[in-house]
Amino acid sequence: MKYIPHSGEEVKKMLEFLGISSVDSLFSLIPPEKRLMDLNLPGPFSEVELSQVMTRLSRKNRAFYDRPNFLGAGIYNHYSPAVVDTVLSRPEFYTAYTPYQAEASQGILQTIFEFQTLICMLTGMDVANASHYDGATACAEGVGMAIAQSGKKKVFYSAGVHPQYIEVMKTYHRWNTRVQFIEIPLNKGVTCLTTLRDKMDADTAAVLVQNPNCLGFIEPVEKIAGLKTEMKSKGLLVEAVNEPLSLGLLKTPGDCGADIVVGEGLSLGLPPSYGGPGVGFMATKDKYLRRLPGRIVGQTLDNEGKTAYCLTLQTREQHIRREKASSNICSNQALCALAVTVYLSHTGKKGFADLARLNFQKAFYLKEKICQLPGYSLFADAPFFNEFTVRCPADPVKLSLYLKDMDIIGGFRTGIWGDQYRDCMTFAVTEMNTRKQIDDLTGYLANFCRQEVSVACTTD
Amino acid sequence: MYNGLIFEKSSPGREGFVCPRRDVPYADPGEVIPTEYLAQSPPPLPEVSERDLIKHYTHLSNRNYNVDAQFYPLGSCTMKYNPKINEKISRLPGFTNIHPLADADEVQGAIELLVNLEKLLCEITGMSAFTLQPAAGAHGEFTALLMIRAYFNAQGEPGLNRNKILIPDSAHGTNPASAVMVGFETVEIKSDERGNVDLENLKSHLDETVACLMLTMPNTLGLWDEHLDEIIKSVHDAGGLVYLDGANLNAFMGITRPADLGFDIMHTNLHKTFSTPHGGGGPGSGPVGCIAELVPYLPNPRPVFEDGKYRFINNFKSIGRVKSFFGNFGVMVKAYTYILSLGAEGIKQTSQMAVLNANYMKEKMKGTYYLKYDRPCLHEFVLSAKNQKEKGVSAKDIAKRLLDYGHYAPTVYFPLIVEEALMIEPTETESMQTLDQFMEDMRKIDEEVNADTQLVIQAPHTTPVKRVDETLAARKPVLRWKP
Repeated sequence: MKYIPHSGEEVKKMLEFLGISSVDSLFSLIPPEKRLMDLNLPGPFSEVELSQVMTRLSRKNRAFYDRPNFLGAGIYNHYSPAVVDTVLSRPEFYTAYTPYQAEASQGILQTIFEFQTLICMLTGMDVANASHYDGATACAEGVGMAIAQSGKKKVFYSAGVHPQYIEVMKTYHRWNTRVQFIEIPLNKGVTCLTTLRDKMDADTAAVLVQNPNCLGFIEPVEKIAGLKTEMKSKGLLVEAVNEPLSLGLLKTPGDCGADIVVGEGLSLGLPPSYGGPGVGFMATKDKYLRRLPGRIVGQTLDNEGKTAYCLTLQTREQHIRREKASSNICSNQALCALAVTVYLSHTGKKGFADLARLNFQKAFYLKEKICQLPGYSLFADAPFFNEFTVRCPADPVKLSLYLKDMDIIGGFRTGIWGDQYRDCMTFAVTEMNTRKQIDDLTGYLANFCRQEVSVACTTD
Repeated sequence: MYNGLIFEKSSPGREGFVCPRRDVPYADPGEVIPTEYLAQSPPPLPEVSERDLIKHYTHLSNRNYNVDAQFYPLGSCTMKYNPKINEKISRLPGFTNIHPLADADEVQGAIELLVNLEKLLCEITGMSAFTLQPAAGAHGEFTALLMIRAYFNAQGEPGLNRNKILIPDSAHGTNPASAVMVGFETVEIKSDERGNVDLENLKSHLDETVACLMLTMPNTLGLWDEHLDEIIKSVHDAGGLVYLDGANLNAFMGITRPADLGFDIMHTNLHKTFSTPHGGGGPGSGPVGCIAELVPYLPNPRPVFEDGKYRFINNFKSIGRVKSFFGNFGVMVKAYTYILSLGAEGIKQTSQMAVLNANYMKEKMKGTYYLKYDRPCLHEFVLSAKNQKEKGVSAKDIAKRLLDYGHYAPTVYFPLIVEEALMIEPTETESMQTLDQFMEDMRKIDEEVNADTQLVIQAPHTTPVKRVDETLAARKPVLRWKP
């Protein structure tokens, strides 16, 4: 049988050693009436058959391949340099266990230490953990951290936070009766500062904002952080980073005054993979270190005085603290964190900034072209990075279908997130989109407008 | 030898990556985006050549033990071999280059895989439905406890009082930590002298405030509870649910099914039982399965096959989302491939051989190392180094010495109810020769304990670094590189 090395002779030897006649007797405590006859499962498939079956299944998906893609909304289609998968494909990394035995795990420990450093560099924070399941769960735990730290109960979250992040956050804290979630609406595409100022009070545990927000627009994070001081609030500012590549261009959350920074790192070297695995990151200030959930790697020495790495500050964690732990998390996305580490080290200081600028410029080019078209307008006159939301002249559902007929994956139908966006589409543009793709897209957008609302479009 | 960090290999102006050419008109971010939003300088990322980058990470990979190269007798972690076909299949562009927000008709293959994997897990466990959203075992526990909370709250007044979760003292630390995250109180249940749940102790806690008993089966001693039927029945009679921590599912697949045994809800780990690699700590996947009564509370959205199409549905009773999108899809592709490659007979043999391996080792080793609970085990067993400890050598020392012999270490100091615990799980993928070699090496280490104690206490000697000072790391935390 596949993956089982035992020969009949060996099984016999082992049974003889145990003084039993069949393996069944090892399961004698399971009552006969609870024993199974046979499972009803497909297979077994040989490797050749398996390869055919699975390839056929994969072809039932319409993958990107060469099709232009303008869909983002939390998962972005970036190029992953060959070095990333080369490193990830090393079994020394991908078949390794969680590095509890430090002496046998220096490789993975050091890559996590580098990851923590790189996340601090990106976010402008003091410390980062070894990573989280994804951006949404990191966000939920970041908010939990702020609640625990402040001892307060009100969590103000911007309506510009990715709706799935909000949903996960609410699920996580659903039974915590002391927590109260309050949504701050958007004004002109970004978090409404006036409403936030009016509602914030001494009982504020956290203010959660996403930058760029789920419509693609850049939030006034620094002004939001300023409100905390103005209101003398003990609450913490949690910032979710939607697209970490934006940090190649934008001011770091740390410089803006954020206390906890979380985000999704899938853009940095990992394929979209239908949404996962990605990698959540989480960083904070030194003074909140003891509240930080998840694994952390530290640098230390071995008994000969050589530099070594190990998991540290484990007294926060479940296997030591059990019910008193800061979280139940006991894994990280180590391999995905390694992808991010290799990606950031490879693109490097210049390449990463160049790439961020290119993403912005391509998106800006599309925006300029779309805004010249009759019938389309930018949802709000706010700055953006590589994604932005526009109002469409006719039903975005129809527009999606029309673009699909033209073999283009259009933007995200923002209306899925709320009726206020029912005429909107959010376009993401990355280094994967060529000028020709953008020109083709705008051509089709113009055609669509002419077809659907001929009057409006021709007289505009 | 230690070669430094990637940051220390950086040289100003060096480039390993070439950004694609700008094929659109120049736009100055400074003129379009307000200056207050812009960074004054880019993040200080390392500047290394591609060649040096690959050398750095290849070197680091060689400073790591791994399943492909070493035996991992790591109890409760099921470190089985990770079949290579899984990796190849998971990299098919039809699986990697698809967007989670694509219209369902564009990703019929992906949703079909979700639906089918759920079906296979249901068949293996007897549960009515599974969610594939949780990204790890602990995440699965948390999800299940949220569901249990929602289930009882929906019952109104009596249900609202069910605020207690019973957890045996042999349980994984994640159990109590997860329960607390859902606002439950935890009560520790003692084990009896045969390694079972202490029935009297359990019954003394069973009342109308109990929501659930979280049980690992076989338990973390690798033992099947001799009163499992009665335990489950007692909890049910008290109106509580019984949760299976499915970390040890590799012990009884195809032999019996959790739902048939009376478990109401469970998680399983695709990265343990279903052969997907651990990746040095993740990504994993911890699906949660449940009986029909609990199905409405599963996380939204759920993949279904209806009217000839694969799509997603939402249930208004659901606890909501526990993760963005649909979970770790890439991991699911590997687990699905694995189950198909084994089929029903292979799945059953997997558990049979895992259990045979464990018993073979337990019987051969119990003379040299103390075995507290001497009865047939399932897929793992727990030895104790208490005899060696009397000579000044701890379980940790023995674990470290094993690294010198080219094996990874067993899980040590867990479960907490065995002093100087050495928890060994061989899995089915290791041959008799590998097991014999490991046991021979364990015997040699015991001889060393008598002959040359210091050799063991000072171990490891052959690893990339010697004994690591974890106390120093915690006392003076250095958690990032600084220039």
